[in-house]
Formats: sequence, structure tokens, C-alpha cells
Amino acid sequence: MSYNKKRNLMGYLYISPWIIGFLIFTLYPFAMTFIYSFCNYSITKSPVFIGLGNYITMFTKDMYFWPSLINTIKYVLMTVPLKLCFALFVAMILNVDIKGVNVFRTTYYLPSIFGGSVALSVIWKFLFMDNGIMNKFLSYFHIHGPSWLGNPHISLFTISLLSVWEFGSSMVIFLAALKQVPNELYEASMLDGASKIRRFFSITLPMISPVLLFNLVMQTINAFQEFTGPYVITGGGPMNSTYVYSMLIYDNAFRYFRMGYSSALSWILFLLILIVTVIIFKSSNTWVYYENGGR
Amino acid sequence: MWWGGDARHKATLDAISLYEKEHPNVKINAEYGGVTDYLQKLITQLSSGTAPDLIQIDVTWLQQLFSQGDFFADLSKLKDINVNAFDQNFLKNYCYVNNKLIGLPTGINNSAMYINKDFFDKFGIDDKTVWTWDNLLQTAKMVHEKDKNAYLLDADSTICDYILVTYVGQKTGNQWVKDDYTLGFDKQTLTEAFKYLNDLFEVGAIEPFSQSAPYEGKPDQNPMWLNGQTGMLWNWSSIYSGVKANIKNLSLALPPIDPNAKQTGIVVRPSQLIAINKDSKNIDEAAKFLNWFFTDTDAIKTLKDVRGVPATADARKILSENNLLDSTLTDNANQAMEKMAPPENGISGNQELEKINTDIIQELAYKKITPEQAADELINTYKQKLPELKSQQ
Repeated sequence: MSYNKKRNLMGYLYISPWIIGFLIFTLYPFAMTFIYSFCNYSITKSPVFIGLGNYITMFTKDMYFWPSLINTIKYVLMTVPLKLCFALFVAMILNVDIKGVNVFRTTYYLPSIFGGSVALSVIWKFLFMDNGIMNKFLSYFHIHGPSWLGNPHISLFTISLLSVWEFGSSMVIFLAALKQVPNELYEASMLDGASKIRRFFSITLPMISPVLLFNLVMQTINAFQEFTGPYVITGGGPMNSTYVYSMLIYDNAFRYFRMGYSSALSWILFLLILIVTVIIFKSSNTWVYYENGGR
Repeated sequence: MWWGGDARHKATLDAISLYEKEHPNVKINAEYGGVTDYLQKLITQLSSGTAPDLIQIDVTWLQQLFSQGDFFADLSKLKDINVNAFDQNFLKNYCYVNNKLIGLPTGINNSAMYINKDFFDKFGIDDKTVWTWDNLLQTAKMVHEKDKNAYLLDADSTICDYILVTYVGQKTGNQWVKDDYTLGFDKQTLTEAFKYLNDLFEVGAIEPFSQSAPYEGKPDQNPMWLNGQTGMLWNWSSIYSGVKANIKNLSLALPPIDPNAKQTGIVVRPSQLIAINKDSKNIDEAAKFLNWFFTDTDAIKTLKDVRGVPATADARKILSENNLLDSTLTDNANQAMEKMAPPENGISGNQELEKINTDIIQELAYKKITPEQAADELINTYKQKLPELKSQQ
């Protein structure tokens, strides 16, 4: 065996845990859901091929399909811009050279470490109950807080806030990008008398736009798949106002044991995310600036 | 394998080690946890052939389990099990599927009204009141008029669904959905039931859903109930010990019954069943243990009422002789058995239909629709859903 071959083999060996995991836990289920999506399949019995039946049911008969899809899209439109703005805002504040700034950076990143965990969702629930901490806090300012979880117009927003609060990973990426912006650009513009706002829109934003694109895509994908928040905090209620698409997938798979139908639902979500991602990438030609011309 | 709370876990584990001591050749591995996702886990185990020998199941799952396949041994064919210890009617109504005895009932579970006596004393209500729909509404009105922050009933949309289904059942005398998947009621009756429910919301019998939303699905944990601002909780008697732990001064009554009811709608059913896995390698040993579990005096004394009031007369006798049974609970079970309605069929308890009901009840509670519209919506949705469910059988 030549040295090169040996070296390649070593490389594969090192990443083999990931490859094996990917094949068994991602690629295989991915392929199987595609097959099952054309079947009537309830775990214990063998799947029966029914062609496009599941897809037809979904668009014509399932009364929860459109409402849950609309909820999910609302959720994405609420969460993603809010989260990115917030992450960028905090990143800019933390992009200063003062003593101990690392402590702040770590603190702001902390919520993201908890991830989309169940425990956090439970805490969120307690924070936003009618007599929870949030409304207690507001009452000090003589504001009568709304029913965060009980009002069908607000409940989805409350859950969206949980995700916004976990802005840390986007923030860190923004922070890294901000550090890369050459200082001479700012100095030159300051000599020309550009205002702070002008500098942000003409220098900062274009310079970090590739990173903005990355964050936008990642957060959009995440938001489309949101499950833990609505499942734990509101269970989809009140009046199904937080019944998102992933809950519909879960209910069909694990409450009604319609694995085939649930697989079909998953594939529609996959296609939807794919289309949205492609649209974002296509549009990026007009607003993302690459210093090296995108090469 | 079973689900339950700490008291049940401890008693069951104690019983198992007692059995192992008496039968040194038998080693029993226990698998236990909460009820959340238990059914999902069980079905996965059954389909992959890794399910345990003895399995606790719920009667409401039978239809769903049997639509998946035939997993359980016929207990009436096993010579080690003394089926005669149980009430035969009870077995016939709930434990047989396709003429096979699927499981043995661990206890008696009935629909009941939990009453916070302190609340009742405060408003001068007699806890021995026999409830009808009318006096329930009147009392609720009186309570809310006296104290704007108090509500007679602690109810989420699931409990409102009990009210709806029971109310209709008492008027019609039918199953909610008949065995042939047609509606057991007409539009007029259903509208009337929704109107009654709406009245309950209007007079302040039930805390507004916008306030109780975080406790949807767990009304027994609503602080309003725990702090004594609501006085009555319609629920299953099998959660008695859990409720008792929070409400010290607790009493029980039967749910409201219309004086002209064609059937009471009072459900008396097994708390759970214990079944034997058909593919088990140890069917005979499992049967011996199961028989001991239900009939041995020491076993009965160890297990007490952790699975509700026991389903065998012998066990009830042994426990009450030793003062191990709560008399409130047994009295209520006896009352319920006197008034019990015919068993509910599988389709009436279907989870998807229940979701349709609770969705519509929420719309009513949030005043998005009138009772008439609610009835229309429910009937129209059922007309679409029932043929679908039937074709999946």
C-alpha cells in the first residue's frame, strides 16, 4: 500500500464513527421514509403500497394539514428575522475592546448551550403563565400582562421568543464576521464624514452579508422543524394556534400510528425547506457581497 | 412491565421480591416508568419481538392494539390462572376480545367527582349532594356570584368532552358512535349539550380557558384546584391517591345524572389489565406469577390499592379487614357499580375523534362559535372522519 493510500484510509478510519452514524441514522431512515410515504404502514404490519394516496389525503382530506402549515410559516416569519436582528445587535455591542468582554460574550452565549431542551421549555412555561414571573415583572410597571400562553393570538409569539432567546450561536458567528471587517474602511469613511448609521449600512452589512446568508439559511431550516417548544409548552393549543407542522407529523406517527402518512408529511416539509433554501440562495446574488467576487 | 407513580412502583417491586423469595427458581426483571409514551414504547417492543412476558395495558388501547395485530395469550386457556376469582360480567365486558381473555383487571376504575370539602363548606354546599345537570349549573352560578375568583368546576377541554359525551349519552341511551360507525345522536341533542356547556362557561362554572391553558391535559395540577379556588374535579377514581396527596379534605361523588337518563354514562372499567405476551418463552411461569399476584393474601396486602380498588371480591375483603382500603374510595366504587352504564365501544373512545371534540370545545370556550355552529361543525367533521376510520379497520 502506498503512503498516500494509507493516509487516505487513516482519514476515513478517523471519520468512520460519523460515516457509520450518518449511514444508519440519517441516510437509511431518509431513504426509507421516501418508500414508506407511498405506503399504508402501521409499524407492526408490513407496509402496503398505495401510490400517491398519502399525498392526496394530505391535500384534500386532512383538516389539520393547512392550518399547521400556516402556523409553521407564521412561526418562521416571526422567529428568523427577530432572532437574526437580535443576534447581530448583541454581537455589535460585544464587538468592543474593553476589559472582561469575554465574560459577557460567554454569558450571552449560555442560553444556546441548553439547546431546544425540554427543561428549558418547562421553564418558559412557568415564566409566561398568567401569574408567572413575566406578568409579575410587568405589574411593577402597572402593565397588566396578557395571557401569554392562553391567548391564541399571542401563544405562537411566546414560543417564538424562546427560540429568539437562544440567539447565541448566530451571535458568535456574527461576532467572528464583525472582527473580519477591515478597520481602514471605517477610518476612511469617518474621514469622509459618514455617520454611524451610514457606516453600518454601507460597510458593516455588506461585509458580513455572506455570514448573514449562512445564518439566515440555518435558522430558517431550524425554525421549520421546531417541535419541542410547542409540544412541551402548549401542546399545540390553545385552539391549535401553536399546532405546528412537526406536531402533525408526530401525532400521525406516534399517536395514530400512521407511519406511511407521517413519512409523506415529512417529505412535504423537506421539499418546502428545500424550495425556501433555494429561493434564499438565488436571491443572495443581489444582496450578498463577496470580497473576492464569490470565487 | 407497568406504568405508574412512586407508590405503585414500590408496592409492585416489593411484591416481586416477595414472590422471588418464595420461588427461588424464578427471577423477575421489572421494567417500569411513567405513562407518557408508554404505549408508543410497547408497540415498538411488540413489533420488534422484544416485549416483556407480563404487560400492563389500558382497556382503552385494546382497539388500537388489536388493529396492529394479535399479541396476547388467551388467559382462559391457562390452567394456572383462577379466572373465577373475578366478577365474570366485568371480565366479559372489558377483558375479552374476539372471545379470548386478553388480560386480568388490576382494579376498578370509575368516573367520579372529586370534591374539595373545604371549598364546599366555604360556600355552604353539601358534599353528599346527588348531582344532576340542573343543580350543578345552579350551584356553579351561586359560587361564582359569591366570589368572582372561585369556580365550581376544575375543567380543561378533555373534561368538557366528558361532560358533552355523558350529557348526550344520557339523553339518547346510545353509544357516542355506534358500532357501525354512525352517529349515536342527532343534531338537536348535540346542540342542547353544547348549549349546556356554553351555559357553564357563561355563569362562570369553569375557569376561562385562556387562564387555565398551561394546565390543559393536567387539570389536577392547576394551582386554582390545589389552592382551593375550584371545588370539583371530574376524573377517574384511579388517580385518587395522587389527588388525596394534594387535597387533604377530599370527598367523592358521582358525576351528574339526569333524572330521566336512559343510561347514566357512568363508566366502570378495569384500572388496567395485565396481559401475557403470546410469544413469551415463559408463559407458564408468567401465568403462575399472575395468579399469585391477584389471589395470594400477602401479595394483596403488599399491593393494597396502588392500582385502584381491587377487582376481586376476596382482595377487597382482605384489604378492608386489615383497614388498608380508603372507605371514601370503596363507597364511591360501590355507588358507581350500582349505576354503571354499558361499556363504551372502541370507536367512541377514539383519540382522533376526541381531538375533534376538544378542538370544537375550545372554539366554543373562546366564543368563536355558537353552540349551534359547534354542533354543525362536529357532525360535519365526523361525517368525513368516520368513513375514513372505518376503512382503516
